[in-house]
Amino acid sequence: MATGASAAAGGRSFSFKVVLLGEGCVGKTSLVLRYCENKFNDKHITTLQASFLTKKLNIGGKRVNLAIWDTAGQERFHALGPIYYRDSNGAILVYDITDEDSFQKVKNWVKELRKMLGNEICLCIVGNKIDLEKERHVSVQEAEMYAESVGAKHYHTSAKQNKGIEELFLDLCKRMIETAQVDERARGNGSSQSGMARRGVQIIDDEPQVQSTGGCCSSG
Amino acid sequence: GKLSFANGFVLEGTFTNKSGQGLQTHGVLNTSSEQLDERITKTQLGLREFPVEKRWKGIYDQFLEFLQSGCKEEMEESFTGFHIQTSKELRKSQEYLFCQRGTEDVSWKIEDILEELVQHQELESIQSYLEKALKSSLHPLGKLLKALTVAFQATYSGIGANRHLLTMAQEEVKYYAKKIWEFYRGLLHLALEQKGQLSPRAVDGDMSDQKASSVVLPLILPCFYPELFMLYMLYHEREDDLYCQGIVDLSLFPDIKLLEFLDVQKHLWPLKDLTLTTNQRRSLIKDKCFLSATECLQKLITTVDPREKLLILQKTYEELEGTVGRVLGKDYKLPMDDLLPLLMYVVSRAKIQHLGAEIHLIRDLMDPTNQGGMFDFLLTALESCYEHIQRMRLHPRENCPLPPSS
Repeated sequence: MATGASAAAGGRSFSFKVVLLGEGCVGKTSLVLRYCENKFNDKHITTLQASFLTKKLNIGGKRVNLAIWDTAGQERFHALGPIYYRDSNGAILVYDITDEDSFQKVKNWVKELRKMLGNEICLCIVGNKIDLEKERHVSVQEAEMYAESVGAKHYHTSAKQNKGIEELFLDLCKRMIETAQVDERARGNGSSQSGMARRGVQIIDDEPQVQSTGGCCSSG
Repeated sequence: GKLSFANGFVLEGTFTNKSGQGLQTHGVLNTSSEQLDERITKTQLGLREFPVEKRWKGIYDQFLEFLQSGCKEEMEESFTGFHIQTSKELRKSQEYLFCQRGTEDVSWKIEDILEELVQHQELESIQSYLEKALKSSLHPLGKLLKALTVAFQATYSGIGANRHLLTMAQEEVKYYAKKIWEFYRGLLHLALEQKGQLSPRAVDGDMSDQKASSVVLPLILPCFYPELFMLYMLYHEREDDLYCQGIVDLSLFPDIKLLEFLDVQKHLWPLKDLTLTTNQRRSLIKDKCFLSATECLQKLITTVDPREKLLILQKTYEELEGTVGRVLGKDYKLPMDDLLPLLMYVVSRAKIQHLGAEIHLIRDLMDPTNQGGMFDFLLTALESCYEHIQRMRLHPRENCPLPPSS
């Protein structure tokens, strides 16, 4: 996205916006809380406790500022989604492995995000609560196959036991850096596009743009 | 006419709508989607034909010449005259600007101005210096601002108060800030040069755009705010109307009913705040819950500077959190599932009249470094409440019977 990367003096630095989507009780908030509080319990001024969190990372000499935006999981607020996920570089879509319904919700979000933002957004599908393996209702195979089919990555986590969370975010950051760099190179090649600041008379046809799935995020 | 599609196709031809049978057309569909992005994103009036850089060149040029000539005292006369040339009508409306002319060369000499400039080079001191300079009708920067203010008012008030001109006006105000910052830098450069203190550090100007928006914009915004806000109101009139209807509907709800309707979780309800007199029923009390947050948010309209507005938003959030902490008797981190319904409650109680105009003005004029940050998040949350309240009105029956979703 437009605000994705900026060259700072003395090394590259990236700012990424990641939006957190998922049904009410899937544990998305505990997931990020775990992640952001785990290592350093620094009370950063620019966090809103649990709904907006920031984290600074250093990945291979590249500085990454991560801003994680929580969203309300209630179905009645679903229509507000676009306001939150616009200009996102990544999305973390959380479902509860014991709740088939929450996985369906994730699928709906994926469909919507791909339609609205195309392949520029890095998607992570996260099966949370793997500590409740015995009550699993969403099969690993099904979830992983689905993720692959839509060009997303799948992760297994447990916010309760702090499993898989660090990996999830690290991996996502790497993919977002990659996407930002590809994007930058493309922009450097002359095809300047400023997708921002759209206002005024604009006629948009209903057909979603044709996108080849699975192109974007073959991460490293 | 010309019809541009989002995929880049352009249909050019004659469009007719006879006897209400839909749009009929006869024309050419151009499917080569070259160099079209520009056109699609900028369809507001005048933007392409008359980019912001080309506007009021006469005003800037005079100043630039004055600067390039080394700000000589004797040049000031011709410089101060610059705005007279734009048009006869303007001259009349501007005459009051020159009433202090007689005292000009006595009280505020350009040498003194340049001397003072050099004294203020730290950010905070620059800010207070610029504030003073821009308010003064004798300082070159103050004169520039006056001229721009008059030009802006003449353009965007009265017949110019048209929603189609919003983007144009908004861009223009930002550009003023940039230009004023550039001229400030120019003056400083000149002052240092004359003193022989020109260091490479003082010359670098690559932060210019960002500085302009963070330092100059808040200082000059009050001059353009009435006209600019009017354009925002006109632009968002329809949404604001829908939102207002929603607000009116919601204002009929007593506190407890509204908390319930908005799905605020029961354990977060500040029932202690509902003090009763003998002949009151708790279920009927209105406007008592989250009062501190509500009152805080209402201050939004008392400010002009987007940054101050954002701080009010932050304070509102803190008040909300404080109240929740008090209710629960412990610190509680509000996830969005809890925060959004609470914020909806506060927004619907605050009843800010032109909230849509406010939100978009803040978003357009806030420091761009806020993008993706906490302030952006808070503003987005506010925007989502605004949107939601609009939609409530559209489907009141569908919204009502929804069971709590947790």
